Amino acid sequence: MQSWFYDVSEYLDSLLSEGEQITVSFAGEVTGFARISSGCVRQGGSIEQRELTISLRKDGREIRSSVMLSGSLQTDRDALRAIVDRLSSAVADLPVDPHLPDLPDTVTDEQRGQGRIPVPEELIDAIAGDCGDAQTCGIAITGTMYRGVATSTGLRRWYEAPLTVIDGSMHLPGGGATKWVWTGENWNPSAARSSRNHAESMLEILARDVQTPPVGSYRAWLEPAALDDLLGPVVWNGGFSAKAIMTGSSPLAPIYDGTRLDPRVCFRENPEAIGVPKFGSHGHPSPAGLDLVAAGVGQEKFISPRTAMEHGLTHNGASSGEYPDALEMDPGDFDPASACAQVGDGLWLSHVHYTNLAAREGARVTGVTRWIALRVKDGEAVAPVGTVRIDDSVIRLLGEGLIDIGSRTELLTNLSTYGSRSPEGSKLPGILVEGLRVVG
Amino acid sequence: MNVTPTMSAEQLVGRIAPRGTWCSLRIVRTTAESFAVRDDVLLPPSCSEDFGAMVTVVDGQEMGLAATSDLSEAGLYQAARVAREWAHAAAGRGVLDFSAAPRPLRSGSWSHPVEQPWESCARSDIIERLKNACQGLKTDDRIIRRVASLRRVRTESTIATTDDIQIEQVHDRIVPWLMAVASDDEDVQSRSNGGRSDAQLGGLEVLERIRFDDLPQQIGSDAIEILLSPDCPTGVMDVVIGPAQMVLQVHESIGHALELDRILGDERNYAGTSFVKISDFGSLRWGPEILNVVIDPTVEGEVCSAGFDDEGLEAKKTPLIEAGVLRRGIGGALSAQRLSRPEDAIAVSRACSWNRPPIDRMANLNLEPGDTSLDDLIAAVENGVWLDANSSWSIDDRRWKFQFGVEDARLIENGQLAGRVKEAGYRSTTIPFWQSLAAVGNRDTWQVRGTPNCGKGEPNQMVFVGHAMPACRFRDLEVFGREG
Repeated sequence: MQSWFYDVSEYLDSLLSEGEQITVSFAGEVTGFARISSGCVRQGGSIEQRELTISLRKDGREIRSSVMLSGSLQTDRDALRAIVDRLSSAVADLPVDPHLPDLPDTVTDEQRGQGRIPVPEELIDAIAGDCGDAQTCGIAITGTMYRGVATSTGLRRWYEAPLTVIDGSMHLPGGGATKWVWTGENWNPSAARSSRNHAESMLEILARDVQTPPVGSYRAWLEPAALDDLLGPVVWNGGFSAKAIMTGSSPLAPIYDGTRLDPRVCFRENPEAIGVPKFGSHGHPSPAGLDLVAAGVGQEKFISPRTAMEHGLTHNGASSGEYPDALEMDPGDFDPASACAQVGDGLWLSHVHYTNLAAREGARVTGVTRWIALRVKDGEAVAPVGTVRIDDSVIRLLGEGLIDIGSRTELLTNLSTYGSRSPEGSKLPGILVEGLRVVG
Repeated sequence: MNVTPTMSAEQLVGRIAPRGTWCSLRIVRTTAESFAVRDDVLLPPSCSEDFGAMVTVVDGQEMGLAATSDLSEAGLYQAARVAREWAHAAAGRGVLDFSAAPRPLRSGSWSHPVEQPWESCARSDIIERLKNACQGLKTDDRIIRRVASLRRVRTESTIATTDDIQIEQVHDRIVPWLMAVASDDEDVQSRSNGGRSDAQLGGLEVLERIRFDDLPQQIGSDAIEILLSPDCPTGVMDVVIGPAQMVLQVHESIGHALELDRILGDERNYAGTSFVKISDFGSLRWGPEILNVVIDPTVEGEVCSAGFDDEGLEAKKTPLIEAGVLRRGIGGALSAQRLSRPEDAIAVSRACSWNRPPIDRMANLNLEPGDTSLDDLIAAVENGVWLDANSSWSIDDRRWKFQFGVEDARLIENGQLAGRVKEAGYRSTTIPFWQSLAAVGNRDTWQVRGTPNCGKGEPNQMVFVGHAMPACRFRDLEVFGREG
């Protein structure tokens, strides 16, 4: 795939006219998937796709075109030529773009992950079949993801990595359900089985009668995935975006302007820790080791090349959306195994489902309990809580409401497959909080 | 649509099908073009062509899929073999006997009128129009961010099967977007053209239909008014919900709740399930007699009008909730068969593109207009609020407990619209909420709208969904402001 991409890039370079430059960005995948419902295969198959985005610039103007390619340069040659001709003709009619950033410095590098990919039967075995009274459900997805960027100035960057994701759940007849996720570059069926067994072990408590807590505030342990759920809408809405912070529209703007989170809270962007590509779709090096929050205080921000041009800043390679691709939070000293004991009387939550920003002020996020949500009494998990709505300020939860931070971080692969698979993820600990607001 | 210059899809599927199998080929070409002006600066325009095919092979009782962007005969031939391997891998473990699954019965083609084709307008004119719109949003120095954008999406799809069926459809969609963000030293508020619910079928005439050129001034002024307004009061009160927010309300608390694949459990791991049981069909009172909800693929300009779904079932208008009583769910032929209700199949089995398999989706899900004028909807409220244009949405995985926020909220005092309020939200549970429906607006309040962003499925799929909605009045809703 890599040599084909470079051949395509060289061919595109050969089509350019005087004064034109291009950036060629590639996202491809060879994927196998098995979708399971009630322990059986609902859909299973393969997906092969190769999407190329060509950005052509001339005299301070730029225009882009994406195309899905066959994988054979001979077959795609005419289509590529037609795109370059069209872009070349259209770019001259555009107004000058005052914020068009420079092309990245010319570098050549590659990241190449290695590992075994399961065959279809193994993939199905890993997730299908029932567990006692519970029905299994979910998706197992595997294969190699490819990313590449080339420029007519000579930059060549390549990323390829195999990844298998088993995203499964087990559902009791009464409605209780437990979730499990296994991800890895190298297929390891016994490790996946161990994750599945752990999820299965939670079914006993989920089968008990529901004890729904009344509206009020609760001491609660939020597992890493639950914290990820709460942070999601905050970062999508420009939490760490330089542009959003400058305009005050970031929900986290206050922490860059005097409001302090708990001093134990430290966030950084760390592609190395997550294994994501070290470059963005424009070819610039991704932000690495970016200390977003240190000792509870907002520090660095995601600054895209365009924002930098617009506001006279120095960019740090952030994507145009200025979102994290590899958000990492420092662990604390708290042993997650003692979470129920420390909660005492409250809640233990594995996830917060369907979160959204309820108000920008305070980074107020709402969502509902799902999967393993337990009522804790006298330091022990006693029953599932069913569905309750959470509505609370993330700034408060990571500030005055924070009691402790878990000592173990969890790698949370981005499970989104809209359009294509995603190499992004986060690495977070769980948190123990006071006064988590249950509103219904 | 021919994949090769010399061969139709129908001919091609016969050549690539593995011997002794049933095979279908679904070829989709999506071409899109986008222009966006942000704070008076044109962002680099973009276009795309997404062209590929999904091959489905049924071998014995099993089904396998293979999606490929290699549309050469050799590429499709290979994909059909990969699909057969997947069918074999699932041997004895399929959710049903796929040899007995429903298949397309009739060939046909469908397209819709386009009065002003996108291509008929010079790009420079589109850019100029967007620049004017972006400038129009700047009604005050406190407007700190403005975006005006247009996206055109043309989808051509062909289904061909080894039963000599060929179905072709073309959809042209326009997605306009306008947004103004207002800020002073204390607050930031935004206003848009209806919370991303303005997608429509057609050409550039869509812009006249939605009065695109008149909207920016209003949106900019609204943003400032919202910024300066007090917080929404908290309490239980009567409300009138406008058509743009009704889009989200019906989408989340009727549409997704009625999807058969959620009820069957296919979506339990991702989007969720439903509180609705099969035994509820024909008996559950969802709301009062004034509540009528339909799937209607015949509405001109609505984004999911169509002749067929992506599994080849012919589309027709079908009631879901009649006079307040639930009649059927939203499911394609396969889901209806799995639930032993084949007569309830609706043409809603849809895929976002060639690289995802069809699943049960809302198409045009509409609430039929009633007979109450907008003035009368409002006049019946002594102390309440008007709520419109979604800004925040969250609902549980059974589609029961929801909380939504809106951009456009105004007090209603003594039967008349009064001042704006901001940060308005409301929460309720599905059936009690719909049973509190007090009045349905007439056709004058009914708006054809649509969203480009409905996500569901594994692997994930984002599709367009059409919603035509009237304004409605509800009793005793829990409403709140900034503190939630």
